[in-house]
Amino acid sequence: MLSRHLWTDNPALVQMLGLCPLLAVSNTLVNSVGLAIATLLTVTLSNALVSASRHYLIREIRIPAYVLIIAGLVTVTDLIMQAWFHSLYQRLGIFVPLIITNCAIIARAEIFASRNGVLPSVADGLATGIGFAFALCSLGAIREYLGFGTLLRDAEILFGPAAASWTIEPGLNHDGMLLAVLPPGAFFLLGLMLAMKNLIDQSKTRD
Amino acid sequence: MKAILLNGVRAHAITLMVIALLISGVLASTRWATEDRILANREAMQQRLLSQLLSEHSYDNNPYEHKTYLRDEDRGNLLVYRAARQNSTHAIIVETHARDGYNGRIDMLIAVNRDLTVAGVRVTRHLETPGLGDDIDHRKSNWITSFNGRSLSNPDLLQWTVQRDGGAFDQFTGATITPRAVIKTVRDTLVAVTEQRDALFEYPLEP
Repeated sequence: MLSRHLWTDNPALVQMLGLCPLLAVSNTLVNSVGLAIATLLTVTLSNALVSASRHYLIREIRIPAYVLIIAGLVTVTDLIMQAWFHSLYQRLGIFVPLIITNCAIIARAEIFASRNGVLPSVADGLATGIGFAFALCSLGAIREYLGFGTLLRDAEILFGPAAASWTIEPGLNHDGMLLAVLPPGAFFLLGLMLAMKNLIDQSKTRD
Repeated sequence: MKAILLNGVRAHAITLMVIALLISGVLASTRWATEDRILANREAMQQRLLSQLLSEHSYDNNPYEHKTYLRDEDRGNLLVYRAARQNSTHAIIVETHARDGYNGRIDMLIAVNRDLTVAGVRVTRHLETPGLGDDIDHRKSNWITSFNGRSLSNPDLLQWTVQRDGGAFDQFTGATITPRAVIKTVRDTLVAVTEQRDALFEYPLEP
């Protein structure tokens, strides 16, 4: 299941779901990790709750019920981030509440959680979240490296003051390629990532 | 038939209501658990900003508790915080914005001393292009401190613009619109504060 969500059916790279937050916050690795954790928690918990309530939900009202559950969970995540990760919250801003609109989450609720038990649904949610996190963090790392020449800059806003020195500058001594951190750069690099993935898939099937 | 339909509708409504109630309960308790921390975070952040604008020993009140308003021709009523020592207002902080940034609105705090010189300026929120326009951000460059100690007679009112327009302030390489907007906002604020000086500085602080 994990390898399917991570690679073959990756929610972002293959199903192209939830691209709006993916493109918007992936300008540094730390921002990406922050949003990835928030999304991972939301999709896992929403899968668990949808699965647990699946016998009580009549077909006709399942969608409004999912929306209620997901919106509630995202608001809880939003409050928790405001309380304990305030500077990260300020950085991600509107994209935390916008996790609600990440269709990958409602898609998992509808396709998987509403038809399976709680444990498999939790596993499915975790796998989906990890798949999304994989895409988000790779894009974040690539954009930060090209754009600023660093990795893990501003790590302290997520991991506490001790992480302030985590920033590394691997090789590539330059002022940064501005394009990579601007929105168009996100589209270009996502496109390149997709191309890479398809190339790897192709060479695999040829073998 | 009608009875069944009604029954069905009622059952759906009740199910949704129960879910809504449960979610509301979760939200209410999360809010209860996080409220104090969130407020404390916000206050700490405001105080941190304040301490960048004014030296902490120069006032003995909490400026956020002593508010008033500044009428600005273009921007309407702007919130003003009064920093006072022994009940006499020593400096004011105006919460204002430039609407004509390169990418929309630039929110700023402008601190003005009793003698109508600028005590400090900080950009609190902006969407200017990273690497080009974001040098207005104090975390990126020191440009914003070039306002410190300035007044409407230093430089002359006509010189309150970027060098390219014949003014006294530096623009950045590749970005003129952003600094132009910031300079204009500081100038407008100084003009308005000068006109309303007595109301802002001389009124006793309300308890």
